[in-house]
Amino acid sequence: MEYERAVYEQDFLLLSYSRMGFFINRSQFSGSTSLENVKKIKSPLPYFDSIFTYNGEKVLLFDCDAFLTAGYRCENEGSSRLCLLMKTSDFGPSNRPAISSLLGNNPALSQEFLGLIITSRAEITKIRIDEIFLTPPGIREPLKKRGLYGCRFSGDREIQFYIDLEITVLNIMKRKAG
Amino acid sequence: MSSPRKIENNQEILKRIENSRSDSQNKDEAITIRLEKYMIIRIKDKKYALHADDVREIIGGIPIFFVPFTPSYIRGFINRHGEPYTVIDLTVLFERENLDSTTYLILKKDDDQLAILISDVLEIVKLPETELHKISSSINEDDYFIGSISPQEQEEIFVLNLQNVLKKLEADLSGV
Repeated sequence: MEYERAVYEQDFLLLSYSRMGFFINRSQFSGSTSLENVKKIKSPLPYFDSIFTYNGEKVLLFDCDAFLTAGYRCENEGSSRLCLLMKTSDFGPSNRPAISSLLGNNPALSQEFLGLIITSRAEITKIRIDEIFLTPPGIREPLKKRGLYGCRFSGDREIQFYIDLEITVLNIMKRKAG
Repeated sequence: MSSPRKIENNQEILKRIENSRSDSQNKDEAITIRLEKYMIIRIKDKKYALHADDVREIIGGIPIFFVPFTPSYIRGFINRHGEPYTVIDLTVLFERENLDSTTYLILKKDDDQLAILISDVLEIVKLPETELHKISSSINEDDYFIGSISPQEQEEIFVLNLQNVLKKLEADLSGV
């Protein structure tokens, strides 16, 4: 009897940078929109320093693009930037108080959405699960805590990291300003 | 083959029997001396040795991809047959400088995917285990060398203690 291995795949958002990419589970955000009327605000948290208007509400923005280029030392080759929308209700139950506390500090901000600035070189793509490798066991746990689960290689010259959007956002929120 | 010499004196016979026994014991000891195989590598301008059994493969010519949230001596990942391998740069650990190279030793480890960045492999030598001059009778946790060997006279090469390097990594990561 012959057995065939089941193939699993998932929709991911793939963000492309020079020699590097990032893929994010599609279920971690509710939608995307273009960035308009972005205003800088004073914030003690790095990368949470702007807002924009969406459906008449002021939405706090997390500059995911700046975080990725600085944290992973990659270059953005996109010409403009887009915005992902995360619903605060979609955060895990244990993380909801933290996000509510952040947004609750400013009642003028939308309590329903958090915006994430991303590169314009973004596309939704299906990725086979068996193409993804977890990070090496010796460093897996600390990387997982920072929202980095694994990677896959695209040719010899490019790596694509599998990151968790929610953990990434929460880790930055937990950082002290400075 | 020369014919056996005659010994008539009993005392001499006993002495000869004793000597022949001790000669045979020495021969047995000589046979059981273990030979250790060392790989001599160059990292920047320094030579180091490591047990050849700890190395699975030598690969080169592929780029390292930076990985954040790790100590500075973790230079990133390399792609080995599609799988990520963590690259340790010992020069950062020993001299706080990055090594500019694309040659890696893939370590033989069943429970992890690890590589060491090196300049090149010089040779593989076999030496009796007694030729390892241990630094001290007990190895401290922060010793990155087990001891030294001298495959050629007037040259002392330090033998890496990979286990302690990995223990340091584990300790450093627990604080990340």
